[in-house]
Amino acid sequence: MNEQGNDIPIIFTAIIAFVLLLAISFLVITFLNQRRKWQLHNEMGKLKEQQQNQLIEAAVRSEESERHRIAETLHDEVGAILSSVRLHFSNINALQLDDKGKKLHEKSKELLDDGIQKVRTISHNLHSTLLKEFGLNEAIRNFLTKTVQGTLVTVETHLDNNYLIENPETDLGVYRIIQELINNILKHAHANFINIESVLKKDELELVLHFNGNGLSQEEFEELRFRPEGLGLKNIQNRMILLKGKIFFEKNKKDNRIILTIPVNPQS
Amino acid sequence: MLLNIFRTFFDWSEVWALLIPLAILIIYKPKGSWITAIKWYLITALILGIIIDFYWYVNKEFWFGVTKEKKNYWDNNKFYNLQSIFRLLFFSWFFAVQSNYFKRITRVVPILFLSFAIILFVFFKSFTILSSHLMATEAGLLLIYCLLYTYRVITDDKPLFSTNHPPHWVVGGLTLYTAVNFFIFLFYNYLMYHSQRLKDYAVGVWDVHNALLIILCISIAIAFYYERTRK
Repeated sequence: MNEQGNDIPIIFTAIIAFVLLLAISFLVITFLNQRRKWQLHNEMGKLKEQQQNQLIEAAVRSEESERHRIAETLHDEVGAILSSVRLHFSNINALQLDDKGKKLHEKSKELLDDGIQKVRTISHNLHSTLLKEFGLNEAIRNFLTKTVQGTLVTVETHLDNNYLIENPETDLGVYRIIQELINNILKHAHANFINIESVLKKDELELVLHFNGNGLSQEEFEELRFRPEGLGLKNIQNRMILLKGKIFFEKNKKDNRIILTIPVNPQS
Repeated sequence: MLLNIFRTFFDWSEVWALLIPLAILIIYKPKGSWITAIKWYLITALILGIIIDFYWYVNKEFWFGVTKEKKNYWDNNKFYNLQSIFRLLFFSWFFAVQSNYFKRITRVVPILFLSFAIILFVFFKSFTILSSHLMATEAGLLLIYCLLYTYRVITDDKPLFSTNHPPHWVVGGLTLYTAVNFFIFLFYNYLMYHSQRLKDYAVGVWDVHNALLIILCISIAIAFYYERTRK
């Protein structure tokens, strides 16, 4: 009995040490399992994001090529037909017409010119050659001037002339976003003053749109872009994802703001 | 001398160890559904811990006119039994708020455990003696909770990391505490009343319990800290 009693502390200490080791191993294995699961989860998330970006890119590319095709058809076919009509029309001797005929001739010529101009504008909006030839700043200025022409909206631009980086993908993305935002401002905000500023920082371009009227807050933007009717906002968000940029909406009574931050790579 | 100071410091660990998570709780004021359960466990354990160590100190030293004859009244064993009951109740509450998975089991287990404690102390054992049966049962039940929790974490598709899910720290500390203490509690009565040699050994083994309590308290403190930084 005594001999057995002498062994008890040793056996008991061994049991405690073994259980302690077992418990520690159990916790370590659980931790490693969780870490592995976490890594796999992250990898899966990245793959999912990559796949989503590829889908967005494909959608944007197909939209751009479709725009290009429509713009070319409008310019080269519809525009050419209208110009030909205009040429034939101008060959009509208006002097031989009576007063009513003269008036109708003049009105038709006006409408035809208007039509030709509209086709040109739509064609250029769909596919801006100005963007390719003169860069983003000039394309934005030109778009704004043409868009507000004949309206009561005042437009100001303070664009950073240091932005000379030619990255067609980025420029086209930014241009389309600005187009969509300006159209939305004119359509929904009922603004009569728009100001666009751009600042080129170290490796990002910051564009700020100031406007009066009914603005949009960030929360409203987040809510609207998931609605079926918020297609324009969804497109903006998709393009921002592709550009890896950030967009922020600020709603104020007199000065609403939309801030775009787009990373630019000077080497590209 | 230095060893004596360290010895006294370690002997009082059942009090000061609990102050670590309580200090984090007061400083950072973390908010979470599980915090309340742990907070009440810490407060109860602290009160009982102070009484336990105070009784032990009085029993050990001649103090404030307490004569040797009266020292038998200063037996702290009953408070260990009480602490065991409260520990199971508060940790059941803690697991109950973790997920619906624990709702049913955490309702049944405390009732069964309380019934077991009542039957044990009314018919079989004295409440004034530290009960190996009660404390080992309590440690075993808490260990089952911990294993069920870990099983759920492992089989869940969603990864839950310790920093984004602070209760993991509490469960980790509790797993260590209960796994080892289950055996200490189970054989404690046997060791204490078998022979003087084994009694001395049992007193020494209690240091392992104290060390694991310190680890548990530190893991609770870490959980409180991460709960505060969690968004």
